[in-house]
Amino acid sequence: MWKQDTGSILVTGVPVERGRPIHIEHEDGLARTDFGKGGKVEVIHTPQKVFQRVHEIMHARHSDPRRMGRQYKGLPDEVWNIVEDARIHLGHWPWKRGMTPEPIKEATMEFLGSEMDDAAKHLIEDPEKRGTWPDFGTRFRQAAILIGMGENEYVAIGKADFVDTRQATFAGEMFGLIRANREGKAAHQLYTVFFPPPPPAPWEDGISTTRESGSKIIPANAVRRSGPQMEIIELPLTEVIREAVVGYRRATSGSRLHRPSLRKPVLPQRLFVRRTPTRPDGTILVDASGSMGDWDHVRRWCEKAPFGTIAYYAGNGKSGWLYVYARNGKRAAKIVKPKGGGNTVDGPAMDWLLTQPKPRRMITDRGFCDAADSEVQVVRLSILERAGEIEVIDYSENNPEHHV
Amino acid sequence: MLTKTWDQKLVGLVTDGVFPGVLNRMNIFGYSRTGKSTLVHQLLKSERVTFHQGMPLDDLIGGWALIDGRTVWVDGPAVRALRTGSCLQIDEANEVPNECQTMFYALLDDPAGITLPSGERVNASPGYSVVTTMNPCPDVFPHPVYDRFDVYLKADTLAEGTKRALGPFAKNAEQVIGFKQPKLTWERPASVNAFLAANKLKQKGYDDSRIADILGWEGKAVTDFLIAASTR
Repeated sequence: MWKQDTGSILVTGVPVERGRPIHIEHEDGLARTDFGKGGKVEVIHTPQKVFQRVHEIMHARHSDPRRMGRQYKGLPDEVWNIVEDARIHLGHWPWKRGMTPEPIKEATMEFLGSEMDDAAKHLIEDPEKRGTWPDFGTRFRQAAILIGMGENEYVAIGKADFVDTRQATFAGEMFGLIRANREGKAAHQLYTVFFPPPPPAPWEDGISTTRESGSKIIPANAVRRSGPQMEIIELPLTEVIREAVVGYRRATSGSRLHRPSLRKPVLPQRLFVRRTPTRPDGTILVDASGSMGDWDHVRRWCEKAPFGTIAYYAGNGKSGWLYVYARNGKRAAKIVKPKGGGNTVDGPAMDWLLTQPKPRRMITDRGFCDAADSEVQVVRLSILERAGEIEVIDYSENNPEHHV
Repeated sequence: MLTKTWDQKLVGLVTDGVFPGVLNRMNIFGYSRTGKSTLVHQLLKSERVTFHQGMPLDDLIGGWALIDGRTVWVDGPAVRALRTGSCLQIDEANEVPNECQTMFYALLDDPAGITLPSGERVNASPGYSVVTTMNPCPDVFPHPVYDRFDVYLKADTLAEGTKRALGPFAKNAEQVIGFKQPKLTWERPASVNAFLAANKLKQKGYDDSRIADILGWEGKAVTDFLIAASTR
């Protein structure tokens, strides 16, 4: 049910230069601001609730679809909507600090409380969602609303109750970017952290089948934007990994007899032979930056996960390389040392890892550095770890005996 | 917080010097027999006239009369209110006769002033105000009339004086106050004059919540006004 409010007081809060919108009131919770050609506000949809009415007026006053189109290009709605909400609340709350009228304050606190209650209910049903995008996004916006109303940033972030300190710190960093009018960058970083990379573009097809040419260059990460490039180098896999040779073992049952045993005077119980089972060894990615570069680890992982895909990466501050050292029981004749000892391409390397078979392990000290998005990638790794997409093995604990 | 009844609001506005003073045009609409006209007359010692379709203009502004063999101009209630700076009370304002329509606009103007058939221009003296009362909702007015009022009060309860007159039967009367009468569903929309009035109050130091209350906005109209009036 909806009706147009022909004498709307609310729309008089929109400056004429922003448009002369009509106001549609909805019985359900629909809240939306529609922009027309030239970025003019055409329709404001609001529910009956006060806070959403404030919120939509803020959009009508301060959201510019042309700017949003530029800043948030290519991002999903669920990401840029949250960032744009945070932007207007951080910078454009309609009242000065401490001047919010009491009924508005009450309605806002009621909204925040009820949103948190809903979030808590969802988390009881699905606790694994804690720390994922919907959970983070909700808390991120809650904190922005509180800050906009005049709450101290640290207190507001504390009240938002992020899953861990890393996410809370990350939220604060994103607020800093948004305040510096770099909301587009914030949105892209949030996307990078919380969402899997999009499928490769057509020209990126065949990344894993370019052995003839030996390498392929792809953008720094799959969210297409400028940044360091990473070259994926498929080393020629000429050596058979000793541990990957398919073997047989004697068993107490089986379809094939162990013929030498038949010649023994007393037949042993283990009279049959069975093929040694092969394990799904998944993928192991070794952070081979200066802080990590111990090549024995690469070899040892070959022994322990002989059927896995084993790769290492490093960069030189501007670009980086990912070497695929072993796959399907074969390895390269020697380890080719990267031309640099920096991290640089942690993001693209993680993108690559996410396209590889599970289980996925990453051996790293998490000391990502020397790229603009290094801190973002640290948060991203922790989220992927929490989601079970990547198991992180700290360099200091990098003993294959304990992990396979 | 207890919501004030319309008559409490009226008494409060007069006592606080908001009406007349800061604002000078008021419409009281609502159920019959609630005490609208009586209360206004008692509070404001008003010049009083009742509109009806057959009413000549003379009944509003006055006319020539033969007195002692001479024709002299005799002021009607509207002109007396203008000259003396008092309140002009117009009952059944929705019945405005065609002949008085234009003069009605002029009397509701701010500042008000009319030109008499004698050629004399009469401008409102300080203290001049207009209160109109009627039963239907203000959407019966054409826009130029409805948007000349600063304050709207909805008479949907019995005034204290009426209750006193009813004695022990007040509670019985309250039960039937809206019986067989049109529903008072009208809500004041946004308009230019509403914001003119808001600014007059703002200039006098009233905060936005109080302004919304004085202008007759209730419920979400109050918060909508607070949002719309915000400046950032």
